[in-house]
Amino acid sequence: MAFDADSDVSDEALLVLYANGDAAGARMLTVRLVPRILGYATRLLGDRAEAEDVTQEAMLRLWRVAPDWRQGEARVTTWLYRVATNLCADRLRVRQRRKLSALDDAPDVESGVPAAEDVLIDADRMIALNTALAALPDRQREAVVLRHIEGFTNPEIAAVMDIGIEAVESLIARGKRSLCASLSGRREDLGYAEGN
Amino acid sequence: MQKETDMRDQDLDDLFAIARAQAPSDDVDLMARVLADADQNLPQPFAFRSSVAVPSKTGFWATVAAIVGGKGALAGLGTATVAGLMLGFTQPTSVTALTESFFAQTPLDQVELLPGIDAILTKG
Repeated sequence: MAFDADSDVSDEALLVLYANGDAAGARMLTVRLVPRILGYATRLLGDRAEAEDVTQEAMLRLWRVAPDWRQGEARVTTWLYRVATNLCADRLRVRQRRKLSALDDAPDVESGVPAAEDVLIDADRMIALNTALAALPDRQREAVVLRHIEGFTNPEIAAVMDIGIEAVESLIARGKRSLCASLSGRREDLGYAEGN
Repeated sequence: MQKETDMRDQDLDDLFAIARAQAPSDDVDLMARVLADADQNLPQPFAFRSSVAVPSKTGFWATVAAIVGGKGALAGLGTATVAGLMLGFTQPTSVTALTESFFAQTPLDQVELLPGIDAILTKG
C-alpha cells in the first residue's frame, strides 16, 4: 500500500476522517507527522530509542483524542508538538533525577556510510550543534529547536510550550547566546573561519 | 569584544539551516507500531439505521402491504376495489341514467336522479 504524504488535505481533515472510522486518515497523518516528531524528540532527548517511545506515545494520544477533536480550536501539529514536548520534559526530569549526563547521550552520526568531504563537514557541524543543544537548559533547548529547526513561529511556540510570547523570545535569545558560548573556539574547526 | 574564534549569529544560522535540511528521521518499524495503535483505536462510525420498517416475510403481498401502510390499509384497499367492481356490474338506475345521458339517449333534465320513496313504500 503506497503512503502518500503529499496532499492538499489538512491535518485536521485527516484527523476527522480517522475519527469517522477511516483508517486512511491515520496512514497519511503517520507519514506526515512521525518523522517530524521523531526528529524533534531526538534533538530534545539526545536518545533515539527514547525519542521513538515519545513519538509512539504522542501519536497514540492523538488517535485517542480524535473523536473529541474540535476543529478550529488548535492545529494538530501544535497540539502534537506540545504533547511531545511534555513527554520529553517528563523523561528529562527522570533522567536528571538519575543524574545522567545529557552529553553522554549525544546522538551519533550515521555510521557506515561513505561520504564526500562536504557531507563529513556537515556531519561534524551537526555533532557540534547537537552536543551544544544537549547542554542547554531544557526550556531553552525546546524553544531554540522549535524556532530554528522545526520552523515554528513565536506564537506557535508559545502555544506548544504554554507560555507567553515574550517568554519564548527570551528563551530563544538566551539559548542562542549559550550555543554561541558552547561553540566558542570551534569556529575554524567547523569551517567558518574567514576565507572558508 | 568578539574573538575570531567565537561563533557568530550567521554561523549559528548556518548550522540551523543544515539541521533543517537534513531528511526527517524515517523508521519503518516505528511507523508500523504507530499504525497498529491507530487500528486498535479506530473509532466505530455511528451505524445507520433505516427508518423504514422492512417486512420480515418476503413475498409479493407482504411487499404491497408494506408499501400501502400495513395489512389494514391493504384490506381497505381490497374492500374499495370490490365495491367498485360491484357498482360496475350491478349498475344502479341513477348511475345508468347518468351515463346514458352522456350519449344523449335520454336528456339529463328528464332523468330523475333522486327518485321518490313512494315506490318502495308498502301499502297499508
